[in-house]
Amino acid sequence: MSDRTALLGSEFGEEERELSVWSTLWTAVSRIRRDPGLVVPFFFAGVVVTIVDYLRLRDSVPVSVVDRMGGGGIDITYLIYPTGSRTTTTPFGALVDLTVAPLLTTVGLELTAFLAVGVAGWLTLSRALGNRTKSARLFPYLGLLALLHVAFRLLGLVGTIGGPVGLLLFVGTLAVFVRVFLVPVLVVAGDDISAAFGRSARLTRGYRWTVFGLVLVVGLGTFALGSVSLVGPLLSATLVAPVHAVALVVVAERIEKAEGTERAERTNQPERTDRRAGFRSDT
Amino acid sequence: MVPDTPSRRGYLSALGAAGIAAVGVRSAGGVDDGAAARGNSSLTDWPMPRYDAAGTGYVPHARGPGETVESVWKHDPEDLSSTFSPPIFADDRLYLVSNSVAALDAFDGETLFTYDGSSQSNPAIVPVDAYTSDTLALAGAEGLIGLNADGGHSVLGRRFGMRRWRQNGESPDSFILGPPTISPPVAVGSTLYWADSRTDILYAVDASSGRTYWERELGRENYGGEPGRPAYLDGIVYVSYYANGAAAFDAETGEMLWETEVTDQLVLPVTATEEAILVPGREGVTALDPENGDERWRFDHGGNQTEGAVAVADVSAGDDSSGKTVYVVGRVYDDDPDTPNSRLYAVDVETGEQQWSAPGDWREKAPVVGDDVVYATEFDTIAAFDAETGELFWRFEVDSPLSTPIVSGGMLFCTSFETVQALGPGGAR
Repeated sequence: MSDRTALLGSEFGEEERELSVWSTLWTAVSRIRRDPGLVVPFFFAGVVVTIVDYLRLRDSVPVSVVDRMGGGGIDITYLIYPTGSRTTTTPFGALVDLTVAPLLTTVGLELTAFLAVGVAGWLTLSRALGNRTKSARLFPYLGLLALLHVAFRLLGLVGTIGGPVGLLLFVGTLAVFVRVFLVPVLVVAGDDISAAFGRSARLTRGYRWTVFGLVLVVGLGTFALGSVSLVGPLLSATLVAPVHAVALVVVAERIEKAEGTERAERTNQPERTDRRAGFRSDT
Repeated sequence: MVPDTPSRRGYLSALGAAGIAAVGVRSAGGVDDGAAARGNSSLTDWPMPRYDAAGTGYVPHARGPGETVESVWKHDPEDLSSTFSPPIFADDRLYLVSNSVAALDAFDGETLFTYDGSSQSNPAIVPVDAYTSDTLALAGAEGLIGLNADGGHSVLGRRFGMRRWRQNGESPDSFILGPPTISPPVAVGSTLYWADSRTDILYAVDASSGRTYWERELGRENYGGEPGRPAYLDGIVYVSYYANGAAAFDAETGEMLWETEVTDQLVLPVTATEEAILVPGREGVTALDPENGDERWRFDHGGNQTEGAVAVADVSAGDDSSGKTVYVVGRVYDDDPDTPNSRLYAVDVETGEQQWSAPGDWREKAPVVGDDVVYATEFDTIAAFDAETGELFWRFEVDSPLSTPIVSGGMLFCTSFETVQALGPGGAR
């Protein structure tokens, strides 16, 4: 059996479907049901994040408590990379003029939560990719998460903007989310971080409504489960993040397959390998 | 800005001279005056509205200008909109609230930093162990917030790290005519006690993290609570609320210890003393037993007070009484436009008996006491009285309405519309 058929899921007995929101999610859930080990990393990440939130809610350094249900609205909790929700965030101003012990404690706890989510994402994506990932991709993946983390914090400094400008920013942010949807899986599969952004934008072209739907489902799912009192971070990490991670792999496979088929039809030649991402096999 | 602003060295030198001169005529020079005389800047802080958590408005060891007065500086800080709220004083800085928050150098009035926000209460300075700088707590449209009292850090002209936390309390109801004036927090150690006059909830809050220790709803069913500034003494938090309620809570647990109604139409913020819990109202002052809230005495001035607070000072002259005196302003109705429309009363805290009174058009009804001098503000005039005898030392007129002053280092600081004023001993410069 070739790697290609394995990538397309026939190895798992899946019926090939065209790329849609529900077929992607169904395939992701099916793979997780056949390989429950895909859930384990994010379950432990959820436990770690829950403990970190618990400790941060009780120490002497301020936190912002994310009140998902208090505002009466809904939220799209989407951070590009697979992750659960957090109950607390640390305002930038809370770190200024901290004495050494609270500063080290705060940084240590936040770093622990960051590493738990990062390692869980790397493990889950690697396992879902099977033998198509390269070793030592953990650090580039953590680098990507750090970059995104900083970017979101800088965006947070802008504050909440309402009115037409806020709506435009919201739509623009969603458009960016769609274009960079595949970046996490591309980085774990072997792309450089900078190359992954360009490649993700290219690969998602023509599939953006489907990817937009996946962003909404993942974002709303993380919001809904993350809103459950006390165990929200654990629930969202265990139930949504693994689906997000496997869905990234499924989407990447199907887009690559569709592109490969198109190329083959145009050139009447067998499709070629994209060794960089490892989503195609040699024929 | 007044062009003749004194230098820090000259200012301190002047304070030193005033302090030394004053020691010669008074029985005891306090820490505050001693610090000024040595020429260092460790002046007595006025860390919250009404000086202390009990709300006495009395700073025992800090002297005001004394028996003579003149303007030392006045300043128009940028972004300071109209305000008649008194400043607070800590670490040689004055903090003012007029929607935005401004920190000024107390020696020359120069603006050190500002915080733009929708702040409506006076602030309180709170030392916190987790930080190298204090927390400046105040209430506004966002609820209770904690700021970096040093102003955070300035990068490329923009301040970062100014706000530390927002209390995770109940969101305030919107009010079509804008938010009402909000009661200020009081600080005890690193704990803040704050009565939200919009939600009628009394909070105990960690000043380091902004975390709520406990909260208790105030008022009765079908009544708005509209609580005023709480007062703290010996592990108990006292608060008054609309229309004529007063209650005591265990500061540690929030357990209600007692609740009562006083004989008045409307109550104003309380002041706590060992002898009595003083509840000023529209027509007088009620003294309650701290143990159970029973009425001990009542002083009726017959006026129509709708704002303000009382000051309580220990001006004992060695007799058998506690020596504590309550200073309260009452309005007087008189058709004669030339007759002052209010009086400043001095009342014995143990008996409620009047000791002296002084007529005046006291605009701000919250006198303060520094050392043995009572300061009260009329529309655009501030007056100083001997706290024991009621003898008038001086009246000083400025060109716009004045806030209640605060006392520190031989100085009085007050706001006046869009101006901050510093008054010092006459002939000091």
